[in-house]
Amino acid sequence: MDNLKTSKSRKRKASTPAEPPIPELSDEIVLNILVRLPVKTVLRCRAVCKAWLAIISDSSFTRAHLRCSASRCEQNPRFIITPHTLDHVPWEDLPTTFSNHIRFYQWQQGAPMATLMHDEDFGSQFGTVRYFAHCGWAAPRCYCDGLGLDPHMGKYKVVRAFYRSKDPHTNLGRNMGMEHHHRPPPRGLLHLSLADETYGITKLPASVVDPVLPNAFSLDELHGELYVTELTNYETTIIWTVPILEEDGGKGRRARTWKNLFFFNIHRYTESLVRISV
Amino acid sequence: MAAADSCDGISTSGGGWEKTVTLVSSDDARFEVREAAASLSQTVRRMIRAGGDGGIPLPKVDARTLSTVLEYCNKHAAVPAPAPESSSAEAAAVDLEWFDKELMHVDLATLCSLIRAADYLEVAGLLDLTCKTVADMIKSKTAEEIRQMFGIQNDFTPEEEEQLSRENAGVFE
Repeated sequence: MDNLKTSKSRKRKASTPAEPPIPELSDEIVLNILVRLPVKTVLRCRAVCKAWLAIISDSSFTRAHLRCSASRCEQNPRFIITPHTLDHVPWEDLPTTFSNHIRFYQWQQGAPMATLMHDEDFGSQFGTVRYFAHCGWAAPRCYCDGLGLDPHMGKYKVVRAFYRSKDPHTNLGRNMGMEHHHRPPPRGLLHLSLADETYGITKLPASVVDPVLPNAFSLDELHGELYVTELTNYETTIIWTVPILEEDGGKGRRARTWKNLFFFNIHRYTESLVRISV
Repeated sequence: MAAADSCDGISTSGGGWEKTVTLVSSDDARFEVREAAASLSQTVRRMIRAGGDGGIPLPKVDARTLSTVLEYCNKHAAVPAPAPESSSAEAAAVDLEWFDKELMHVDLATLCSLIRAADYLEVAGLLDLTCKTVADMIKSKTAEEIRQMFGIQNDFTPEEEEQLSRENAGVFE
C-alpha cells in the first residue's frame, strides 16, 4: 500500500494485467510536462485530479508556462498572412474594391510554404468570429477588424468590432467586441492591448472628415508609429503620424497628438506622388 | 563479483584510448560507458568527480531504462560541437532529430520511466524530449482520457467537476 501514498492525493487505479503500470510521476515532473501544453489543454487538465489542479493553480506554474511559451515563440515564430485580393480586375483607374473574402495563411519560420487555414484550424478560439472563406458559410464576410499574435501566449487574438442594440434578446458577440447604445461611434481608432485585452481609443486627426466613409483614410503601422493617410479631397493627401507606445505606462495618460508628416498633391493620371512640403 | 575500477579504458575506433566509467543499475546490471557520454548526466558527472571504486551505483534506475538513457547519451555525446553553417553539421542535426524521434516510439509506461530516470540522472536534453513527447500525447485528450492514460483516480465531487467545466466554458466560448 505504500506506493499509494506518494505525491499528494493522487491515487492509482488497479491497472489491467496486460498493461504495465504507469510509474508515478512527481509533481515537479507533472509540472514539467504541463508547462509545454497550450493554455486550452492546461485548463482542461485542471479537471484531471486535485493534485493536477493544485499544480496548475500555483502562481509558479503560470510563470513557468509563460516562460515556456515565450521561448517557444521566439524559437519558432509563426505568422498569419492575409493577402488582399480584388473582387474584380478593374478596367480603368485605380482598383477600389477589395475582396471581403479574406483567406488566412499560416507560415512558420523554416517552412517552405505557407498553408491555407480553414475554419477548424482555429478550433473554437474565435467563437463568433468565423467568417472565413472556406468555412462553409453561404456568404462569408469578414468583420475582423484586427488580428495579432500575442508573443507571450503564442496565440493569435482577433478583435471584431460590432454594433449591438439594447435589445436584451439579441445574444450577439460574446467575444471581444465593443458596445454602442445608439450613440455615434467615437471619432477614433479602437485599439486593443493583446497582453491584457483592454481597449483604448486613439483619436483621429481632427481634419479627418468622416472616419466611417470607406475612403476617408487608411492606416499603417511602422516602427512603433501609427500612420494615417488622409485623403482630404481628390487632390491632396496628408500623412499623419503618432507614436503607438505609451512611455508613462498608462498613468497620467497624455493626449497623443498627431504630427503632420507630409502632404502630397496628387496629380491624377500621373504615376508618381509629388512632394510639395514637409 | 570482481569490483572493477569505475574508470577503465577501452580503445576507440580512432585507435586512441577513451576514458570509460561503469554504471550499475538498480538490478545490478553493469554498463561500461564512455565518460563523455556518461557526463551528459549531471548526477553521474558529480559522482565521477567524487571518485570511488566498483562502478557508480544508480539505485533508482533499472537496467532496461538505463540502457535506453545510455543509448541517448552515447548518440548525443558522439555529435561533435556544431560547426555552424557546415553541411555536415546540418546533416548531423537531422540525424539526431531522427534518432530522438525513433527513441520516443515506446509505450507510456516506458516513457514515464525514462522521464523519472532523466530527472534523477539530470540529463536535461532527454528530460526535455520525454516531457515534450508526453505533452504531445496529452494535448488532444479529455480529462477522463488523461486519467485513464495515467491510471489517476478522479477525486473531484460531481459539483467540483461541474464548477471546473463551467469555468473552462467561460474562457473559450
